[in-house]
Amino acid sequence: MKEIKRVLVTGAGVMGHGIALVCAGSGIVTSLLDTDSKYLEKALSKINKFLDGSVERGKLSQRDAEETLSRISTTTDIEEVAGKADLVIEAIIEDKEAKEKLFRDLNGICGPSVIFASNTSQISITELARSSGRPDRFIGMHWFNPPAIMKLIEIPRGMQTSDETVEIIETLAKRLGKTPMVCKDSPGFVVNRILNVWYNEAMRLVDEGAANVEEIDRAIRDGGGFRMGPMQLRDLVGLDTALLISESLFERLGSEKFRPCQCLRDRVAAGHFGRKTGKGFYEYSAE
Amino acid sequence: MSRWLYLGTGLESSPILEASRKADRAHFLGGPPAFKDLESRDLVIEAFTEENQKEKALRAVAQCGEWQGTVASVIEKRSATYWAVKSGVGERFVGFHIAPGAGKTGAVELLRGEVTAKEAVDCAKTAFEELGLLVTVCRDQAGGILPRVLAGMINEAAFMAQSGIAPVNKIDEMMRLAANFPMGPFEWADQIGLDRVLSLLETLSWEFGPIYQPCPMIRRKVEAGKLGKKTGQGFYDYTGGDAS
Repeated sequence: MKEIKRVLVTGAGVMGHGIALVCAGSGIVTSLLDTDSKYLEKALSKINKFLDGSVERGKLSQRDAEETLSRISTTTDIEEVAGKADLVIEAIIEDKEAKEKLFRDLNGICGPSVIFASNTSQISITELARSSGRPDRFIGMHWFNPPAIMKLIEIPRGMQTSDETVEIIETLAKRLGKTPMVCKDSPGFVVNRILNVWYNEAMRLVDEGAANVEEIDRAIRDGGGFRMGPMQLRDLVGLDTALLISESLFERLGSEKFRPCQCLRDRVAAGHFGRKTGKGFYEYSAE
Repeated sequence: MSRWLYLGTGLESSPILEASRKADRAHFLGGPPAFKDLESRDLVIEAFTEENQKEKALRAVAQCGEWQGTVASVIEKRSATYWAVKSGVGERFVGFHIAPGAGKTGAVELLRGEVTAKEAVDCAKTAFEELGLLVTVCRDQAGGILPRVLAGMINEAAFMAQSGIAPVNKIDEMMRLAANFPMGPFEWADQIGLDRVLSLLETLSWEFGPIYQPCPMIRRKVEAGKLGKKTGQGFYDYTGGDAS
């Protein structure tokens, strides 16, 4: 079975730079690609900050931190790095056309044995695979935020993904210290689909006026033993993002269960996106 | 400090019964009460699970016209409003159910019926809070808050397992790992009891429509007597084997 020695991570955002950090930390030579060097600089400074913090807290030796950093290179030139990688992990914006274009470009540069993995949370793996020219070596690799901390990697396999590809990615995920869980490619995969039912049940109670937001959150959180109430968590992640995900799941699954709730729509319409705007289901004082 | 009369044999392993016993302020009765049972009490907790027994007990309370205390009655299939009117207890009637939580304290949801008076809600709330329980007041509708959220989630997870998106034990583990859930949906179902989950989903479908239509996988398990932890088998096997 093919061993992954060099990884290319495309997209240097929150997920991309975290994924690159985890790969490099496990001894993999990692390139981080983005269209703008500004994003790459930002990503590198975040990586540095994380490594310094780990050294300060005694979680990592100075030497390991330096070695991890030495394994990460950044570039804006796809031609320069794509040809050398065994695996490309795509973590660019959640836009189907943008991802398809990237996979077409990569297909023109990468050899046929290179595996493409997408960190998408909402787009069909089977459909994205069509633009990769290698549907058997195309797979989902859905990380959770922040990648350095969260243990789970959801591995949705597309209709044409080969067993060997699944095995290679599972092995890699374990080597990265993660828990890989393979599932069938379907809308929202496992975690987001169940989580959105949990959210929607709670928000439907808000819409119905069964009790107020605080009471509903408290009954679920403290009664159920959850760490946060659904509306608290919605505010934390951002209601604008929440609505996009909710709409996408409703459209793709077609069930009324997933219909975006009015209390969510109203807040997004008002520009109340949660913590980041100081107001959502709750109000937050500026700190 | 309220003193209460505890009627019925339901809620055997519930935090309410345990706390009632510990608090030593409850008198227990297995059948319909008479005025002498009620006169020194300000609250009746009625916990019959069988509908005939429930009706008899509630009617007996309503017929003790001199007694003006509150009745907190456990609600399963029919609404609090239905029982308040049917029994003749009326505005002194408040429904409740035990939330099937994994929280530190037991949680109770009070269902405020269409005819329930504020005083009745306050009386029951105070009494349950004195027992150290988390109390939430909710409008009288099927499933209250937490049971409905959990039932919806369990049902969706069952549809996903049924269609082979991922196996039962993996779905549970994924929710614990990625969403910090205290338990996965199937672990929850086995703890609550699949018969109760199914019955709640049926009530929810009747109240809110087809989005709560129970997954065939749950129905088949119930038909097979695989009700969860209490029967040794449900979505998981508790007799020493692995996930079924």
